[in-house]
Amino acid sequence: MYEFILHLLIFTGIFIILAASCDLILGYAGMYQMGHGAFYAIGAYSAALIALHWHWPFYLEFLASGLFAGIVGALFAASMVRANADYFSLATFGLAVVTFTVLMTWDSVTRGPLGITGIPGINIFGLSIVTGLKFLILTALITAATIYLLYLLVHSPFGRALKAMREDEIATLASGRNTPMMKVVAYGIGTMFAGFAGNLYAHYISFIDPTTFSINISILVLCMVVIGGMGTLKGPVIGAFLLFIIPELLRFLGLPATTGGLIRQLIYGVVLVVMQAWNPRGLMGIKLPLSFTKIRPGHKEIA
Amino acid sequence: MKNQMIMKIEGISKNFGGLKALHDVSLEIENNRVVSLIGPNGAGKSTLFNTLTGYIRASAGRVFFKGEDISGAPPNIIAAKGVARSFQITRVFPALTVLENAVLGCYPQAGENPFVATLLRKRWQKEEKENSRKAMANLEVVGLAQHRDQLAESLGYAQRKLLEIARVLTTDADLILLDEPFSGIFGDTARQMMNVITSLPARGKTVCLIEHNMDIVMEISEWIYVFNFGELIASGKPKDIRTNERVIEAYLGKPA
Repeated sequence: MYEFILHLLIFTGIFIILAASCDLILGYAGMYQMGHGAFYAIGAYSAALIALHWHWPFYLEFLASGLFAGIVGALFAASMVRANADYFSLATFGLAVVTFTVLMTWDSVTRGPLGITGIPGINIFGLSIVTGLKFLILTALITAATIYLLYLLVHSPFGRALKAMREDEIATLASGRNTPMMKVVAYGIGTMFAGFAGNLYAHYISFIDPTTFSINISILVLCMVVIGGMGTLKGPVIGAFLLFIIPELLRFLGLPATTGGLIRQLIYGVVLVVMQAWNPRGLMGIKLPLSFTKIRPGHKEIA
Repeated sequence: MKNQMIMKIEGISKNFGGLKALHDVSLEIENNRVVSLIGPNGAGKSTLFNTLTGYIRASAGRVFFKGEDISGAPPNIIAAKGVARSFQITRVFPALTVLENAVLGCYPQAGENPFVATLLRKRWQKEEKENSRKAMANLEVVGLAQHRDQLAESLGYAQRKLLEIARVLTTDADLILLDEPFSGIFGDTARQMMNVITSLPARGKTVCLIEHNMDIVMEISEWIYVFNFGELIASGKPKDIRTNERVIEAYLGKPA
């Protein structure tokens, strides 16, 4: 049980990194990101390949895998930045699908559907971190650092300019900002953190194969952000927690494995629909007193 | 250098398919003036604004700002050089506060570089204080200072127009293009807008506005350009424009 809780918390940390970094792109920069899983995959595969073939020190490998994902992200965004918002989001969806296919078929590098096995644990300055509590502590530290950096970013003039671009791109251009460049930078930063999450995943699970990185993971991360509340940092943290932990608790109901998987999909779908109908701003966007006064104005306001 | 020309427009034409939205328009805007572009709907005034600010690429002709050729440059480059504008359909950032809206007029900002934003906080925080002070001064000018922490979405229509002006003023641009700043605003607010606009030349700024309200145009403009069917048909001081036959014809039609 103890091991299981550690396992859940490590995954929650990884999903918090994914959801929060996705929110930088989606909630702050206003670009519909449906391909975050692609960069999670790029981070995981580059971590695995570097660890197995080049044996770099962990901190170098960690940075390299994230930077690589971020550079791919920035190049992708640069190539698509002229498309309007709808086509851009379709392209991110396409990227997630293509990435999955590449992982499946580029046998000489990714070993296709067999996946990559035997990824070593993490070794930092002689301290070996393979599983359990030590890995949780490392994950927690990296998650906290991610949230802190994202917090600094969104509460800076950089974050303000991103929000302005999301609200009105034409007016942002009229105030001198190079909005296409801002999109490339925001997308690059967001996908870099997805790469870091992928790195942690690869080291923790020690075995990666393409099925983990199907389009489902991108959609799951998107749901976490939307349900938690776009354009807030608390939102994706809570969204990641809820959408990862609650379905895991279903295990205790003793359902057959296949039914459990289907029910999980069902929960995501229902929660998303209910959330959009009830409060499209997401959980953290809720301001109950305000919305109540809007729905039922007091007598004075009517008079 | 009172008579310097801040902007020169040479032979601008713009065709949308078969429609000649602008045909061979040439004009010069003098430094530290309030000038107006008038003309019936569809005369090409907004198209000219969009061409000057880089949102539309002209089919022919050149635009010079302070002697520098800016034709074909993208909107953000032209804005950064010192040409600020407002929009016919008011553009504010609804989910940001009034103060944030105004501060966004400041450009460039060191803190908009993600490295500086996270790693060199001292550097941008110092700059931020100065920017906020400047933005507050301009909110004071348009009378929105007491709403500084409200979200822009909570402002009414006229206040949004004033907020857009405050952002434009905060850009420090020397040439300010205002697209129908008085549409839909009346009474005290209109008077306040007039005071703001007429105070700008004393601050070293040049204002060019598109406006349909003739009483206001005649009162605040020092020079007027009249457009019809994409052509500049007249220009002059308000009192001359008022009696110009071609202008009267453009607005009222030819006598039978």
